[in-house]
Amino acid sequence: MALVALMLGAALNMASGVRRPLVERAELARNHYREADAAAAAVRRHVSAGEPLELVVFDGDKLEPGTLRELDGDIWADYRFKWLLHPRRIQVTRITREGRRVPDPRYPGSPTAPRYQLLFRVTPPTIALSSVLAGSPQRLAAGNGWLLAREAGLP
Amino acid sequence: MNALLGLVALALLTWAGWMLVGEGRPFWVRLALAHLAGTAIAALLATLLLPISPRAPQLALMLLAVVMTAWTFGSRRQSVEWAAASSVLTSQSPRGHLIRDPKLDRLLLGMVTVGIVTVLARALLLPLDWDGWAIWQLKAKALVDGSLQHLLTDPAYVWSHQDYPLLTPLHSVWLSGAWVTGVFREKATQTGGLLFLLDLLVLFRYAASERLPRTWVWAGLAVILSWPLVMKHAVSGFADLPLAAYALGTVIFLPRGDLRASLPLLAGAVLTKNEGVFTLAAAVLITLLCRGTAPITHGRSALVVGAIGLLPFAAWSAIKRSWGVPSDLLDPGYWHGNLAAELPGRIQVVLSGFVAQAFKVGPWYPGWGLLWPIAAGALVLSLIRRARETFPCWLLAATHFAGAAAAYLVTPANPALHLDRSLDRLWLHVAPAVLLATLFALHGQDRSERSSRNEERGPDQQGEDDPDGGADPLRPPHTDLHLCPEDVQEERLLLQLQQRKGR
Repeated sequence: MALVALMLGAALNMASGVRRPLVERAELARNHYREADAAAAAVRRHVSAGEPLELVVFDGDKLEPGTLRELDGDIWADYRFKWLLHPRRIQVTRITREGRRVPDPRYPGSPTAPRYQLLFRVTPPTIALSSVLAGSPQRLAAGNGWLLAREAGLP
Repeated sequence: MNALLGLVALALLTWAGWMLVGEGRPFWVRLALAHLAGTAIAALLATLLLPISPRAPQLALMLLAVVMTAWTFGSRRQSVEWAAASSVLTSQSPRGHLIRDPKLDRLLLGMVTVGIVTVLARALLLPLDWDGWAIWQLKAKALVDGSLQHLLTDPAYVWSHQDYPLLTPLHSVWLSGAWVTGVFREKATQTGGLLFLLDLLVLFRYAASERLPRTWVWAGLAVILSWPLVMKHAVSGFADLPLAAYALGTVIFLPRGDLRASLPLLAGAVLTKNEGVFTLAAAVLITLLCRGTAPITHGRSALVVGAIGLLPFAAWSAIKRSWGVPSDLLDPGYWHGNLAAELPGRIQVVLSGFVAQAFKVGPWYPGWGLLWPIAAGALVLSLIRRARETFPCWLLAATHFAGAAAAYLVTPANPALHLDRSLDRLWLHVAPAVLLATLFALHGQDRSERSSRNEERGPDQQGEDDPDGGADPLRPPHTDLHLCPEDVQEERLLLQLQQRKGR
């Protein structure tokens, strides 16, 4: 009897698992993973290998907040770009809810100011991304929720 | 080119493991053990070489190649063993005894096939999952470009569990061919997870076939493959499935006194994840409490097992200490200042989290089906009628559960959130062993009991309650005996005496 119950549960789980690769692939093909891949490709294209990068993320950039599937976009972007662009040095800067630009408190003492910056968020921006760029940089590439720019005057 | 170099590395690891674990096992079991043991030994070598050179993965493989070549040429017997193994492979194809019991077996075989096809589909369609790229394979990339020490000590990567050991990333480096070309391929690292899944299935089938009818064995395999967590982590780049394979192998082979197989597997568990020390604790307790696990006294056996299991742990700890690698969970410096005051609340969180996890039947992750409620009943049954056989598996589960609970009690993160996002994977480490014990307990009688009953009944009635209808050709000669090691020891002694008589 117990074996039958075990097998019934297994059969149901297996049946639902069969569809899952397709469902998850479809999800990945249209969400922030795809945009991050595109942004990383743009960085590889426009920024030379040894050049550090400033990753600008946004406080409160959350997907499905309050649910089990909640995703902190700022943290995800930090980890994801360090993976995609390894071993490039990435310095993380945050845009607070008030719109202030601050170094990420998790990484105190970030000394340099990289000449290239990548703005990234997983949720649709409420304001134009270019409006939070520091100084008057030159825009290199952009996509859905991201923008790559470099300091003005660089070749 | 990368694929070819990956195959070369895989062949080398398997070759080393093959020689290490020795003969006297069915081909597929030895092959699975060879992959697990070879990877563990190579990972231990690479870990020991890390302080000397950032090219430790390459050096470890080269050293292994030299040692294995010397060993092979030094011993002619090995070629005979390979030949014997090949003949086992060709003469004892499992196909024949799969089709004997028509409907139910076909259904179960179909489920296993669907499970494996789903896993393959995941490998083809999906990339690495979060922890796969953020923790494990990131270290593999750093091993490839020689920047591991920087990665493990740079505060910019503090979230990547810098203190975790390196077996999984090393396996990825070897399998992807990046150890020569320096080009890291994500898909190749997913193949590594698949190999560990196959190892796990082969070992599970081997252990289950000793005591259970074929239908039950295939049911067990189908249950394992039905867990969404297994389907996912076979190709996610995580280290949880490799640890599950090492832990299962340890509790299968250690109680038999088979130290050639179990000690490398134990080392592999310790080098896969920090949670491997829970397997080490279980191994020491099994050796101490289960009679006859080794041909020396229990206390000494436990000391030997503990010392050998501690060697990789000590090596990795020494490297972490000399490099200054932070440990986010084990270092009391990270713990909350008011931990004592928080403890009652945390205990409640852990208890309710464990109970909730047991009833996550599916279909979404972790999707255990009815494993844990049934396992709880099986534990009670085990105490009544299957204590000896199931004891190692339950002990493994107990040490892992206790360790996981302790980790959540001291975690610097929000314990509820931490538990919610990781408990399923911690339970995955022991779930196959728990399933094995559950099936043993539920089935009640084992093959040896049936065969003795058959002897009493006479030849006409034999095989009535054995759906296999006889012996499994893939089982080694001693495997229809008891799991309890003293019986194996006695049988070996008897065999030796008979051989001497024969001479």
